[in-house]
Amino acid sequence: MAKVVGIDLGTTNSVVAVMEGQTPTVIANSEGSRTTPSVVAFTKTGERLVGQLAKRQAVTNPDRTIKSIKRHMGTDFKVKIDGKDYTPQEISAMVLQKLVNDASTYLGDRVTKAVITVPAYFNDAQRQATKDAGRIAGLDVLRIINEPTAAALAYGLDKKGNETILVWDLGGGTFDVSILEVGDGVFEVKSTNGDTHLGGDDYDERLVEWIVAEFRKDQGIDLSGDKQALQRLTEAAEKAKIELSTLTQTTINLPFITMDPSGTPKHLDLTIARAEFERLVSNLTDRMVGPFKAALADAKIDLNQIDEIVMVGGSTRMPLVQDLVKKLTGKEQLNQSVNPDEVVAIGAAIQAGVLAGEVRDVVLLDVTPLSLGLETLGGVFTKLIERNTTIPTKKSQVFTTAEDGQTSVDISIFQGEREMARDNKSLGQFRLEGIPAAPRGIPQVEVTFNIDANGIVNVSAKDLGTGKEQTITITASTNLSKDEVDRMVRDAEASASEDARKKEEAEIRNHASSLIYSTEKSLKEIGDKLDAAAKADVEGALAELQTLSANGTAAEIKAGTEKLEQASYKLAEALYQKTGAAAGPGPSTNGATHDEASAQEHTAPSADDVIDAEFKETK
Amino acid sequence: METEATDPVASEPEAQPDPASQLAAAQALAQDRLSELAYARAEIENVRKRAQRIADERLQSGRKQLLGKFLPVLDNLQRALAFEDGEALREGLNATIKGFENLLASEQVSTLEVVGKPFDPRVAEAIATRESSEHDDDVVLEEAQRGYRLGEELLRPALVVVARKATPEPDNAGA
Repeated sequence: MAKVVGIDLGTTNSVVAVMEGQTPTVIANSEGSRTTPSVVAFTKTGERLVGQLAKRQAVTNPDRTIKSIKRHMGTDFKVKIDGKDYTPQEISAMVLQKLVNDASTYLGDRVTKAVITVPAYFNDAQRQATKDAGRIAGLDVLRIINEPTAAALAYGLDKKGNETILVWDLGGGTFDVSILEVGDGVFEVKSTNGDTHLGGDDYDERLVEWIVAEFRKDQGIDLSGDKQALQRLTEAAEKAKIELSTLTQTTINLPFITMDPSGTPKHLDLTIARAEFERLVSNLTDRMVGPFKAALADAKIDLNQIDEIVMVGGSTRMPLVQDLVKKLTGKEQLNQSVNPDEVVAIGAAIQAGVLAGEVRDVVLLDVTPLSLGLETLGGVFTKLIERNTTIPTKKSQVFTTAEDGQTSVDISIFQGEREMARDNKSLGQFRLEGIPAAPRGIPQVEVTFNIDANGIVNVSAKDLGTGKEQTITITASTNLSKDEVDRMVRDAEASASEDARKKEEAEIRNHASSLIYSTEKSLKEIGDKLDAAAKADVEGALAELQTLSANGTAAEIKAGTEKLEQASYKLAEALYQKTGAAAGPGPSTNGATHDEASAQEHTAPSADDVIDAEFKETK
Repeated sequence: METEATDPVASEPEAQPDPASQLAAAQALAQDRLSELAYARAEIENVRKRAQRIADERLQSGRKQLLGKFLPVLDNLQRALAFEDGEALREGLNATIKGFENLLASEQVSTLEVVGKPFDPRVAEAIATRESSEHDDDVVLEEAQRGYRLGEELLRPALVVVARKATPEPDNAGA
């Protein structure tokens, strides 16, 4: 099926996105960037450039480079190049064509249909012009949607009941504030306002002015006329602005920025605190208040009627913008988890997916907030389903017994992120009985975890030998609140190293127990074929490890295990010398490795499922 | 001609399965298929997440390897600071730069040669123009910052000053 893309055709930058499965994905352009400057240029050689390339040559070719054409959409403005007139829709079509071509390359399929966004304040002529631009670019424009509506869609706010949504959009060069109402999946723009010449670029400029002034104060040199220095300053200012969104202070470091008249190099090294930056730009920030109040008045709503706030545009990453919005609205919760540079295109892609029939409500996919698994030998928590796995899902793994003649296994089900079962939340347990008596490691018990679309967990254990099966259904796993889940994840992170140590200790003990078992078995089977000295060595190491297993520390057990392994190697050598390499059937030359190998062989239906876990003893 | 499909129930009712059980069977089948679809879709998501995790891990290990190679450059710069200004320090700095350049070259980073050539926005960004009588229009006069290529891809464009031929008339004559 042909893909329908969503396009945010912006004043300074444009973005294209598409639904991949149930996930909207932003498509990078041929230069590898996720945003494309809305710039078109006609070179003197007659070549047409769009995006980053057009931007790079703007200084040398200003008369034939067209920026911000969106400001002229729906007017009879024309651009004259080489005696030919171009309409705003023709120029916009060139930007669209670049986006669509790059999207087609990415998708490996010609894109012919799109949803395009426009500002909420666009009138019919401007919307028609945008649609025409799409048509000129060879696109079937399925729908023109408002930018704030697209942003709200990206957050799934169409699924909410009747709500009032404030969309705060501070881009590179424009500020828009809109108030929407949503009900039954339909959005209505109640009011819109803004400032068409206010954006992140103004903030950068303020910072550059400050740097120039500081440098003049310190060094007595004016950088404002030095284009080369200014280029570096602008880049550094934007970087500093971005850093100040996460740090409370940052340094602007530009070595060899210029020279004094005597030719001595001068370096620029300034530190700026976030508070200082916020003071510098306070009157820019203040300019957003008026349009917001006007929009509120036009929508005829009170502050307390605002249910959701959506942040759009890269500049809303600045804490000062977020603080302003919180202060003005009295609300703490802002929708800002989706990349604000991409949120409009993502919303457009979701709308495109709906129109293409790709996004359906039949299956609402959810995730398991915590890992699910069972307790295995030594109290270790063996995860079958990792946290954040999309449900419904089903996972099986084959386990075996820990003791000779074990005829039942206990399945204890836990939920959580800790390494040891007892530190997690117990969801239930049951016992599978009637397993035919066999040496440890031989029975195969397949355990299956199944979480259905409603989050109900079914755990079954099946003895593959007899076909006997037991099942338990757990509904409690869905009862955890978000706080509980967060707490459990935090706990797991906090105790990660302690848990890892406990798990390692359990594994050391399991390994020792397995080695003791296999050595005893080997001694019983082939002991009489060994010379007395080698046998005594093995028996000595065995007895020592048995004692340590009962009351030694993990380190002691590990050392004892290694000692027994060494002794067993000698045992193996001795055996080979006696019987020859082509030893007949049966006797294992090294109990431990043989046993592990066979356990894996038996317990693993496929290599991916290999697990070194055994059930603990039940009786 | 009437086809027999128009009234099969009337002609031979007992040969047809009971409509109620037929419906039930169809519904059960639909339910099964819907469930399979849900599992399949969830699996796509899980495969996607796994692929993302693997990609993140690869990225991280790539960063680790690469950044590790950069540390000796920093070491040498810090060593240089321990010395007084002079010829030896210059030599040391030059050697450090040489080492850094070799490192970049071993990572397939190459320098772009742009000065004296016609300006090309594929590899350079114009930061200014300057009138010149001895150069053609649009020739790169000067490099304010070097540009680099990574393999066949542009790593960073050069920042350049471009020649503008001094002409009496404005440039709408066309080419």
